[in-house]
Amino acid sequence: MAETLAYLWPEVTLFLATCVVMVVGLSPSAAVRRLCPLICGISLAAAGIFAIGTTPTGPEHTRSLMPSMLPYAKAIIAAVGILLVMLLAGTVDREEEANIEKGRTFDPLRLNSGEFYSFFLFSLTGLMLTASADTLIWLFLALELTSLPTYVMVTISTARSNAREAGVKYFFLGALGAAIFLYGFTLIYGGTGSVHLTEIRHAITTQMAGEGLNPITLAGILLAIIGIGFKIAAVPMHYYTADVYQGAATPVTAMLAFVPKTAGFLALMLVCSTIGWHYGESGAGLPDAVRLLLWVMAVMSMTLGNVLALLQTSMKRMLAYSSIAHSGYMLVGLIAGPGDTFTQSGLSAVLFYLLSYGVMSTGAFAVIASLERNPQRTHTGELAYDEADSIEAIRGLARTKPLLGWSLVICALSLLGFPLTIGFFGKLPLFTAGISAGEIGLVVILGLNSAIAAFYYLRLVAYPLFDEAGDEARAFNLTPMRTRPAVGALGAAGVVLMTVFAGPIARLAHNAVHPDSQGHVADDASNNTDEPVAAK
Amino acid sequence: MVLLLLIVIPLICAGLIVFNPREQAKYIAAGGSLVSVVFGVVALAAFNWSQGGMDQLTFTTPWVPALGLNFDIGADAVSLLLIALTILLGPICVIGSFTAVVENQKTFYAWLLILQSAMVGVFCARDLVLFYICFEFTLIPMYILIAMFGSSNRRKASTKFFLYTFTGSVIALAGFAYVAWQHSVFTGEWSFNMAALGETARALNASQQAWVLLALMAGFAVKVPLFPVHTWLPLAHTEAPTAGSVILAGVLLKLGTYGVYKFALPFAPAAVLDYAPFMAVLAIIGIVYAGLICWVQTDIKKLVAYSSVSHLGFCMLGLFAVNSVGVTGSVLYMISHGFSTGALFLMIGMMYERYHTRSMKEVSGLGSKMPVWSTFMVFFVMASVGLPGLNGFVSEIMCLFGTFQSGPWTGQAGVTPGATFGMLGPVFAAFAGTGMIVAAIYLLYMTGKIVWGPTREPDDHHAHEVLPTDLSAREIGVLLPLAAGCLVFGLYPAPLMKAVEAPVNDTVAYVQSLNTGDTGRVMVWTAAHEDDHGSDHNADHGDTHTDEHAQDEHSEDHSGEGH
Amino acid sequence: MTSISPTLASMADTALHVGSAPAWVLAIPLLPMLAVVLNTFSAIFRVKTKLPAWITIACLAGSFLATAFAFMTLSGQTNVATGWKWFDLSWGAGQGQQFIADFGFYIDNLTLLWMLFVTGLATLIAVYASEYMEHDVGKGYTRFFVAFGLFVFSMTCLVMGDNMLMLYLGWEGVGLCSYLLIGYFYKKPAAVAAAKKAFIVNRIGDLGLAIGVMLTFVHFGTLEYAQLFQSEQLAGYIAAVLEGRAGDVPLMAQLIAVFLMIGAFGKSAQFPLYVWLPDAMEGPTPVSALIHAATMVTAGVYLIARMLPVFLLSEWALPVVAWVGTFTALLAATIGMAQFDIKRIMAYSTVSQLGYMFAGIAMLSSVGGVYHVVTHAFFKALLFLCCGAVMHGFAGQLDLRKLSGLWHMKGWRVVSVGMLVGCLNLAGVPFTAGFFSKDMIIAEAFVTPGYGYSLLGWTLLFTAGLTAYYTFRVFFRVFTGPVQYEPGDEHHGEDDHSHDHAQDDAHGHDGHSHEDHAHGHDHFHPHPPRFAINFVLATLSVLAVLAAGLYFVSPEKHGWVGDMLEESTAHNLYTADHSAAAMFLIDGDAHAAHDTHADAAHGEHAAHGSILGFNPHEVMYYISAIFGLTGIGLAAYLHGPRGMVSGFLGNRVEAGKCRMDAVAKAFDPIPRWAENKWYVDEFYHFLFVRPLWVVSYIFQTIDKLLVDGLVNLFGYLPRLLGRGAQPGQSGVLHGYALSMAGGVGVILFIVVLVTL
Repeated sequence: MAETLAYLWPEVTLFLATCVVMVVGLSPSAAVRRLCPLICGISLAAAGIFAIGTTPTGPEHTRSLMPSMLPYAKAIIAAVGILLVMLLAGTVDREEEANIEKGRTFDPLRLNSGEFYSFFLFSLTGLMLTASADTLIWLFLALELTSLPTYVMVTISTARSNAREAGVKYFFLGALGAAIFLYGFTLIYGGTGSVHLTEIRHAITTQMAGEGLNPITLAGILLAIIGIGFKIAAVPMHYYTADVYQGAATPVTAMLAFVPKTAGFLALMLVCSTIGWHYGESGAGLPDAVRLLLWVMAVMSMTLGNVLALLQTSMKRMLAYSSIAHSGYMLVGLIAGPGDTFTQSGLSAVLFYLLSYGVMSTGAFAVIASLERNPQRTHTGELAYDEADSIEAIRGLARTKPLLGWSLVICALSLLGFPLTIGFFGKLPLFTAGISAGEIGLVVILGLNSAIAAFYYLRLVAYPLFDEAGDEARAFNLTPMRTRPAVGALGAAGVVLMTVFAGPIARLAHNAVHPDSQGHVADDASNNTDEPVAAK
Repeated sequence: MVLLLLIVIPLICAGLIVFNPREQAKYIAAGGSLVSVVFGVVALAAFNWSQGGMDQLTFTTPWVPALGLNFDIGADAVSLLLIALTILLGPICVIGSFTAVVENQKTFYAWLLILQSAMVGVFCARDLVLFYICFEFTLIPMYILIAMFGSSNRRKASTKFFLYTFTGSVIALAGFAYVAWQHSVFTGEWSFNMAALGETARALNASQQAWVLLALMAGFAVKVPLFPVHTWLPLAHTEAPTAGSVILAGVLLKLGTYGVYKFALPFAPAAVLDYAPFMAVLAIIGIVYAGLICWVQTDIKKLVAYSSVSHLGFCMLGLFAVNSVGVTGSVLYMISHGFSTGALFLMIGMMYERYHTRSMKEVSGLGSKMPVWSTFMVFFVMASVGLPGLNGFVSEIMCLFGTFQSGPWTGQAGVTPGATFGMLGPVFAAFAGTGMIVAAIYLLYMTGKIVWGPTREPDDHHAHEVLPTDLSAREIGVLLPLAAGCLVFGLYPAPLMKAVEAPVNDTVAYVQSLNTGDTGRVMVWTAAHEDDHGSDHNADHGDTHTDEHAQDEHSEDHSGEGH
Repeated sequence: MTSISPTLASMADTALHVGSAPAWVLAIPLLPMLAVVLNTFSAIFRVKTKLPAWITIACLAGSFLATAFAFMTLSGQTNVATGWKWFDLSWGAGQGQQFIADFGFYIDNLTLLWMLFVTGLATLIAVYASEYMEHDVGKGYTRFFVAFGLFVFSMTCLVMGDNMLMLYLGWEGVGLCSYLLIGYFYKKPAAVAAAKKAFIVNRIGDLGLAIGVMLTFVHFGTLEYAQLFQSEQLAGYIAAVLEGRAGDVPLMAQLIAVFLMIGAFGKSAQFPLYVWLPDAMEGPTPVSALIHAATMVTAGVYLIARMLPVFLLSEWALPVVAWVGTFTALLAATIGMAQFDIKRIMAYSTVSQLGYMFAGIAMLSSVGGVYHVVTHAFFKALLFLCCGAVMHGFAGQLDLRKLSGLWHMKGWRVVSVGMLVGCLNLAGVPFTAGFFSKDMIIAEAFVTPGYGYSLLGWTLLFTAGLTAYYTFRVFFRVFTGPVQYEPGDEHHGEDDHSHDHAQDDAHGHDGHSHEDHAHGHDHFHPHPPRFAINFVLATLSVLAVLAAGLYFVSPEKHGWVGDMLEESTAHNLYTADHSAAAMFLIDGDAHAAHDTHADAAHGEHAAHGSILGFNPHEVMYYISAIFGLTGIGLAAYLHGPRGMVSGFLGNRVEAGKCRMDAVAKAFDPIPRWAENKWYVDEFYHFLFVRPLWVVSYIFQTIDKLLVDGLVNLFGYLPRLLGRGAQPGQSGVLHGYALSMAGGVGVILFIVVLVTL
């Protein structure tokens, strides 16, 4: 147990911070209340440091399927989490805080900050726990811990009624998804007789060596994958995405784009690892049924995501569909599976892509979140700000607000996978890994989808750069919450700067999945300064 | 190192422009591009011209080692000449835009400089991914230049330009990735090193090479542009600002032909040989078809734009002739077209600045109004027509010669000493040659309208407040280097031919070597009726990963072609 | 066969020796280039004097002197002078693995012969132009002389280039200068159109030439004359031809000549590519004289003469040339008969005479053909310059119906005499140069065996008669009879601006001094030529007369030209075996009947053919004289002035009315059709230009709708797909739930179906 705890320090840290935030958020002192996001940030930073510092050793961690992944996964979660918390800061209780400042008496019942930030931390805790999961039960709980707080966050993020609608949809459909993968988990248990991932793997290997995969196990795995597909918003579990993304306040949307997706992919990696990638024609792939399932999901997600995004005039919906497409891209990595080098390993490509996607999508959402107008009373009498959503809002942005405009342009180019942004370095290993796995057709579809994606991402480039700000665009002002544009700028800077450090990051991502191949990679990087994580 | 400077200097200047509070953009840009020229001269001087291979003036530093990606630059003669063209056009574009661009000068000049860096990067990249990065990145500056500084329909043009070329090159990237994977299969090392991958690619069997070729052509043919994927070009050219058009015609199109030269030929020689007739037919269609379309244009810029499609057809033809004369001709064409067509776009820009129209219906007979302009116009038209003694001729005739030589001559061994091995031949050359007539028709038609004849000016024309009626000293100064280039190039191209001889012969050797030995696959058009010629592919390539099915398919291809 | 073997052996022995010429011969091409450079500076510094003319004259004279010196010192040798490397590429060490073309010059007798009259005439015509173009001083004057110098430079490259690419350079270079000079009066739409037409039609021929050059390179592995004519391969082919094994020559080698021929047709205005030359008369007259009569248009003849060994390889090339040449001669003559514009008549006459040259050279009388080139150069230049003087003096009047009696006008005597000399030559009046050169050609038609060559001979004779008729038609109507004239359109009306003062907008009204008398003929005074023009006309007249003398220099070799050509590489290969070489044109069997040897004299030729049972060479003088004189007589009868030969022949009393009018009416519409050039231009327009234009429009439409449309469709497909998928995004919760469940079902069904 102590061994297990040894690599759960980040989660523990976050959990403790959750408790603190919950209390602090109810403080009668405005100054103290304002500490909430700061505490979140600090705790995330601490969790990140713990994550890097605590390498699981000893016999206990062998129960975890991918122990080496933990430091990297948790570190990127912490890093993107910091960006997210900066973005989330000030999202709720805006009117109430203002009223208090004007003299209204402090009433804890009217304030949501405590819950909001602590739910955020809960969600991230769940996310980290997903990475650490070593049993199906743990995995299920961790996934749900990731998701459940987000349902609430969506609902309370803004006073607009469609946030509630979104919250409800999200919750019900999320329950549906959870039911499916939980059903899958039970079938896996039924088929293999264990909830421990390592034992399941062992059982499956035995089954495969014998009469072939037990149909129950197989059915369980398929259902588990489809169910987890909800988290990553893969087709056919994607239906909620656009509505929920649009309904939630933009900072929360940004969070939805990263957190559940990351949880989903970590879970998928774990589930797929139980089978392993040594089947199929090439002997280095998933079993046909699983591969086919993922293949169809990948192609459908990319294609549907992109073509639907094409039609949108709402930026949030557009980014929602594009988020579906990005899941499709990453599924290519999952299909490709592990490989000797970074370029051949789909799993490290996925880990790398998660980070780049987190940074660039957070950056893009942050820009959108920085624009607002028209405070209006909703039917419940609360004050709601019109967020920038229609693409009209960003016309001429690079001229009126150069920093924001250019941040959006850079993030959009990165989402497109344009060279000299991290998006390109994210997509390239997906290409190479896919091809190395013999999935040339899939890679071509991926390429064509990138091209389709250019159609709408280019709008995010062209509107701010080339257009004159119209009436609608001029109505939008910079939000008083200065952290939001800062996140946009940080995202854009990160997108560019990470290209410089893409090498070390790539190596970390690779070592995360393939601890044994350090030597090989280190050869490639002989004159590079960064030491493999494991050595620290 | 000097190449690195050539990439970095414009970037630094772009930075200076952006962060300089005062409006000195154009002077900084001019200075920066002139400094680049100086270093360009240094590079030319430091270069050993008798040597092939991209291993001079190198600079290497790992970038993303995990991806096998290095920042690895170097040059061979062809690259260096194209770099020289790029940086020569730099100051010409900058200084040529002094009066044309009045708003957003910072943006304009900064992106112009960034574009220059990216283009230099393309030509000196020795790493496929670095090449791809620069190749792709040129889109952004061009996109911005067209969309912000273009004429009325600029948004549509720029978007089309971006999406069209982006789509193509993504597929090319897949092709690169495929070769890199094969390389790792062969050697166990993952690398994007151009030379290493070239060797691997050549070892692939013919059907694999065909796929590689297809993927690469998807990227490069759009850029060239080859018929039928050319439709972005007239639009983009017409809408682009003058400097944009000059760069577009002068250098950006050459990224495509350079790609074909640098990758398609050495990577997939067997496939190139197989598909040469097909590509050549497309090129010839482009030559004639686009040429005839030029004839019915009223917008002179569109006319010259379509003429690029026609001209680049010759360039592609020379490449797919895969012999020294043809490929050298092509390489020279890349440079020469930059001079003459770039200059034509400048000329049109100068006219446009004065009359704000490019329609031959509204402006004509400028001969008496602007004699200096007209003189230059006629000169560059003649260069573009391919008049001997000027640049166009040298390259065009060599492309045609190469095409002519490369063909079914080998059957008459010993009888045809000037023939080389290849898949084209006299018929291709003859059809392509009609392009010379068509070029004369449309270019003289344009000259007849715009330079000669009774003077006509737009109704609402009033004198330009800054510019004189005829060319100013600055404008003449911009045109003179190009004119001198055209003339020197036309009269004394031998040094250039000698300069590119080594690398071109290396490239050609990859294809021509298929002629030797017992590969059997090469004498397709003579041996097509023999059923067994596909069987010995493997032996020669030593390829252990041959897909038998693909192999069969390929031999069928052969017989299909042969008959 | 045995009789031939020694010849072949001697050919192999006397393998062409190519020396290197002294560097000063480079002055021949470079001096005209110097003129161009200096005149460019004149243009830059906006020189407003006649300086450009003097520069040009000086340089061209220098070039002529250098040529003359070369003629004296280098005649009879073959030398190469290399300027610098032009094309230089190699991909191996073996034969044919180099692609080399130097900027070099090949000097043998053929070149020298050509360059002598080119530079000489160019100098004279530059002198003429210095006066003729003076109304443009400070405006187009410099431009004129730049192009003029460039033309001479290009011509030297064409003639003297030591490889086929240099030939091509010159070939297109003269085309460019022709373009620039035809379009000299660029405000006139007709001039612009004519210039364009000239260039484009020439380009069609150029393509043929280019293909010929490429074929030569591929086949012989070299572009350089020195190597080509020394190549064993060529010698082998020629031997095969001479031995009657023409079939042994590969098809590709035979095709070379065919393609070169097309090039020659374009540049030398032969049917069907002749249509540009008459229109080219839109250029200033000195240009017409130099480029479109004397020098450039003979380039085709030069090409065939130079490449004769290659032409010999082809079974079809030379006969086709002969037929086309003859047909062109006849066709152009018939058109020329019906024209009223004297310059155009001369233009058609040029086309016609070029036809003679082609026919001559094709009938293996390259001496005749080249001799005709030389004599024609002088007398046709003379004729044009006389026409130009008339045009200059009468404000652009060229209509022979509006001019009459110039002989009797003060100051026009030199022009008239010059005209007479030219006309006599052109008409082939006995003892003129034109008489001898034409006779040589026609006689050869009856001598050389070939498909229907005697028919060609009669046609050429008939055409000679026509030539005499239309030539003297001009002379009688313009120079004899009562003094009457109308000024041309340069005198009045606003057109004047476009023509005379092409570049003049900035100069305001200063240049329009004649505007005072703009609208009346009364004030018009023709201004006769001054010294420069008269001097040139006189010199040319003398030269044209003297050219006849060349026939009597070394008569055993058919005159001086024969002497010169015998030494030239292009020629000796076949004069060595004149008739034998000719034989292959018919068939190998007949060959045995002809026992021939190198110094074939007239007597030998008698065996080959006859005209009315006589030896053609002996009787041709008389027969052609009869035709010529008949033509002149007819012209005198129909167009001569009253009082001529007691009023029997002519009865014309005023400028526009003569007997011919009635004749023309009687034969209507044939004269009208001929005047309209048999509607060939319209036919071409209808057959080629219009369809091509339509095709271009169709292409443009295809490009816009189909090609681009397809691309747009591909771009639209994703959107379409999106629209198809959009209804799924209904926003209704239970709809989503159902869709998800359904999706799961479907996807699992697919998986199960495919994998199990």
